[in-house]
Amino acid sequence: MAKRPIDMHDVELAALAAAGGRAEFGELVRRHGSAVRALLRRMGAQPSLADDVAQDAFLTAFQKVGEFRGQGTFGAWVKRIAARLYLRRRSKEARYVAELEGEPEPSGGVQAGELVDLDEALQALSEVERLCVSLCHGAGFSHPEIAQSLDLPLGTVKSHVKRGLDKLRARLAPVVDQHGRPADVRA
Amino acid sequence: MSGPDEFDPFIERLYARAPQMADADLFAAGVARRLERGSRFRGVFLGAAGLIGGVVAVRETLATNFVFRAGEAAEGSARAVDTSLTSVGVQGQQAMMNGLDQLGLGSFIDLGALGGMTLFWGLAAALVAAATLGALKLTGQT
Repeated sequence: MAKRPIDMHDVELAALAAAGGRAEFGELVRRHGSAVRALLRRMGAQPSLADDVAQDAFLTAFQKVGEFRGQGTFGAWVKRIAARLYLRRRSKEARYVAELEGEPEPSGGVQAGELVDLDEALQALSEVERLCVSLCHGAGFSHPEIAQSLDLPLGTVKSHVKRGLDKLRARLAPVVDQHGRPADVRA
Repeated sequence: MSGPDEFDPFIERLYARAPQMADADLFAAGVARRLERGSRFRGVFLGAAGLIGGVVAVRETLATNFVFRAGEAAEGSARAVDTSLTSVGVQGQQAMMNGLDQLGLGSFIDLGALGGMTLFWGLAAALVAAATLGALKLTGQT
């Protein structure tokens, strides 16, 4: 009996999608759509823009799915496509250069024992820090790739990532144990 | 508190653990709809290109018949048209043969052996094919 898409591994689904399988690609979209949309929102995109870019990313992925050879996960591959599309969209709008420098409004500290999720913690970061941390740890970009994508010096990118992680560490401190493991964190 | 070595993978895990969104099925349906729309557009475009090509071909065939009939009625003017067509054809063939010679293909393809109309239709088919391929590539990118 033929396997149903829902029972298949991502690599199998991608191979069938490369041969034109819409149902199989649909299953990939169902599996990874939320993660891609969440990444774009974490990078700073408004929900409607994030959904729009995520759809574009999946359409691009469908056209290029034959290039996906299973090195790394399908989710990571689509996230990179989505991140690039989002950066291109932003650079077209030429918004971020002016906006990136803005620091966020300081928010209240987290009380010990309070449940903190990543999205909340990211609110403490400036836009450029959030973008750099999300590209690095969410989309798997290297520091040089981020520097090239954002047209920023490599050292600046490294310090944005470090500062962003320091802020996240401080925000997540109540829910991270001494080994860096989450005590009770919602993703 | 954890060191950077432990914290980095922890953050990566948090990024990877995005929850399934409530409207995930709606989103997937939106992507499927856009894929469907893209392929329908491609189908419509190809159909339209074929239809236009067919209409042009029929029109050209009818016009050719008309020229032949007109030639029977007024041989002089038809001969003039034919002469000019032949001259254009010969010039085109010469230019193309020069190009083929430069590519080293001149000895394999002898355009002189092809009739003027055959050459015309061959070129037209090549142009239509190139335009269709270009348009397909463009629609594929949208």
